[in-house]
Amino acid sequence: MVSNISLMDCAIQGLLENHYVNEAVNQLIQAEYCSHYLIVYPDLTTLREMYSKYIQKQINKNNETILINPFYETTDSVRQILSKNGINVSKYEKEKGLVIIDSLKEFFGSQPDMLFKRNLVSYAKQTGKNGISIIGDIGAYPHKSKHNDLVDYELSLPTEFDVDMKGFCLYHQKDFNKFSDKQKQELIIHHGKALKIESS
Amino acid sequence: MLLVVDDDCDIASLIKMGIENMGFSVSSFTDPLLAIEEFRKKPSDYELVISDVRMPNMNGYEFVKQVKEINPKIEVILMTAFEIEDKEFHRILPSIKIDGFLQKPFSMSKLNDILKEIR
Repeated sequence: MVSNISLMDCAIQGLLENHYVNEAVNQLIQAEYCSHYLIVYPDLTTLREMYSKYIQKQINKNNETILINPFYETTDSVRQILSKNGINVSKYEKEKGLVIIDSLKEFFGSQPDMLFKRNLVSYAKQTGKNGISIIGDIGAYPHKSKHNDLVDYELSLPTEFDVDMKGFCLYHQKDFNKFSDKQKQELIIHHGKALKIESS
Repeated sequence: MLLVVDDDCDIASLIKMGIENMGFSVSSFTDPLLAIEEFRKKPSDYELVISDVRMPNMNGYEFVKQVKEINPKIEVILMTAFEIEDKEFHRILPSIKIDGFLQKPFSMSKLNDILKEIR
């Protein structure tokens, strides 16, 4: 007999698209501005591989501004990873083509985070960029045991943005597992697409 | 015996190796829930717990709180590459004594000094 729990689990798994890193990166590159995706990642190593490949492509070749909000590693660690992958971090940070802010400061800092993001889109467009990508680890919320607040925050955001911005919300698998089945479903359905990245 | 928890596998392994080189026995974990399970099985075998703060599944404060509930006398060191958030720390650990803090990155000699100090 199949239990209700496993049926629900199957339903949730069925709503997530499973991809290895390279396929996932292609999906993100092809995403249109206005997209709002949920991404579940299995570990830091896989996440690093994913964001460094994506940022390298978007910043170097697709003339895009990137905002990245790490949680389970420091902003300096992100700088090191990106530098190792051939990205001129200091140059892009200086010209605000790359903005790296700790997730805790981004989501729980003094400035409303959506206002900052909208201003960053305006600045990117003024400086001739095609748009911005936001790669934000939501780990700050589970860290503060604010699971319900995170669901409210996510549901307050649109499924599609009305500016040239791609929003990728990163959930560590172990953080994602902590949401109730109902919350998981709400989160997945509210985002335009939900990807689960498999480690290579 | 020492218990080390860090969600970064490389860091957990490095710390385990470093401490073993100092002559201690160490169990290391990347998942705090598995570490709690291990600690619960033989709490009196461990003299010291070293834990990261930002970890998925359970943060370091919650982990330490549970460890202290199992064995209130266990000594605890928290390590982090970030600033300790006072509010969060005091909310979860209002009256629990932390025996040491390590700011990452740290050298093995720094860790050795702290171990000597508290043991």
